[in-house]
Amino acid sequence: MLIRYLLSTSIFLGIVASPAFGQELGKLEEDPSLKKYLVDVAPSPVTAGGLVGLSKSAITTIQTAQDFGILLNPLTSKDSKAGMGISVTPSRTDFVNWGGAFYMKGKLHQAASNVTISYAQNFSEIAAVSYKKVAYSLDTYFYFDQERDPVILGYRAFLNCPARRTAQKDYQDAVKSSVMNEQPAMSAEKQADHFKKIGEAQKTCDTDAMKAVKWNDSRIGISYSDGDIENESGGGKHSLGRSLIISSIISTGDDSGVYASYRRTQDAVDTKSLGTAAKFENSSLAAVRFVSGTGDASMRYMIEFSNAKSSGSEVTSGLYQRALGLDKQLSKGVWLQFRYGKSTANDGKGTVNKGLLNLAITPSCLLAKCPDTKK
Amino acid sequence: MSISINSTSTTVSAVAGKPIKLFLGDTGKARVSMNISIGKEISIDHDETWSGKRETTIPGLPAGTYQCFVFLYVFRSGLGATYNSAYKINGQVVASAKGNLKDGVFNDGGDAKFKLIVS
Repeated sequence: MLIRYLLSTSIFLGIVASPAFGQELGKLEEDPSLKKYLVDVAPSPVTAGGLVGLSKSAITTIQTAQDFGILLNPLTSKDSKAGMGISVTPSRTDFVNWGGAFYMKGKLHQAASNVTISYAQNFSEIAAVSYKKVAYSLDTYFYFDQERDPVILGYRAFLNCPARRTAQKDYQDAVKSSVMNEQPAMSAEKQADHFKKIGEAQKTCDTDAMKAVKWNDSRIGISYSDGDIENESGGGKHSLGRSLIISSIISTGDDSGVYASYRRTQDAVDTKSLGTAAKFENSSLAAVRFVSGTGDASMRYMIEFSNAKSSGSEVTSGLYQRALGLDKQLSKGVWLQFRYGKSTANDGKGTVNKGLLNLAITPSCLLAKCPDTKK
Repeated sequence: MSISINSTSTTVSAVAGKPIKLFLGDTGKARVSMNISIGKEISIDHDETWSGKRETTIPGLPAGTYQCFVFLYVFRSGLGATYNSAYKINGQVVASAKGNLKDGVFNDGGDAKFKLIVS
């Protein structure tokens, strides 16, 4: 089954790796980066996706703050069709005016600034009936050491950039000299040249500083999700439960880390009871993932374990109990995720061995055109 | 360079010999560098706008007219590209600027000049 799965996806990989496919995606870019100031550290997570089954992993990866993110459903999974998720971080838009001084006040303020709102939907068949699942979530995170936060690294790069200060002083001296010596005002071209030098100086400082950013810098995230499941043919709506998730990543080396997440879900409908008298349940799900990456961080290998039970719980149905996987960066902002392992069965009866392929894409600058900058 | 700095007046007054309070601050999302210069000798910088405002006092100046400048440099940051800057002398706003870097622009700036009349 694995070989058949890989053969079928190899053709897909050939398609998605082509530039034409990237253009076909149109505005679907990716980047869990704060415009240019976050490196492409991981595929974009959309936390609400976990509640509707877009993610088959028990691990909830930490949402990174970005303008806008999109997660496309498992592309070769027959478990669902046309699922998608979107997310937005309000403080990164022009609608919320929390500035740098607010961010620097401490972890609570960083957490407030990093609040992300996401929405996800998915479709699945349960007992030959088609259902639509919808979920919303609220997430945030902060770095244990705020000096590892890429936003703050960028600010430090700004403060520690003597070349920029020198270029600024050159401009100021030129302006003052022309005024005080009653010379003709500096031409627009000369001004532009000065500002170009100032900008280039700062970009060099930024580039050097961003080399220190690592995908596995230790941080913690908290999220709350709420969702519903509805018979597409009508017949009422039931709650997918309310979930509180705490997730973290702890750095264990230059290119390795441990993800851990805990999810507590209340009053989630047991989907096997849909169509009869609906039953609701509470559950807890814990998972851990060990990840090791290549030096350039474009490929990551992982192994994960969870306490997902094959007992028929909707919350844990279809989740991996243990899995091997890899994330491969196809291009800037586009990640392919592959997982294979032992999963709880969707019908709640035992376990199955299952493979999964996901495409994660985040338009980093959908809300504002970003300068073309290199990582 | 396209940021427009609003100067509230082309002249500002101060009392001879009396210390002069200067204020530079920005509350936006961009990384901002500010400078206020008085005459040839005095130049006050403020880059740490994310850490708060800068308030400083310079010794009183002899009577006379001094050419002054304010400079503003704005750089896109991981939080955004908005700026909301103010320059004050003795509590009076002498210049301000508020806005957002244009899409696709990494850095921009502006400057303004005015005269300080010390009597």
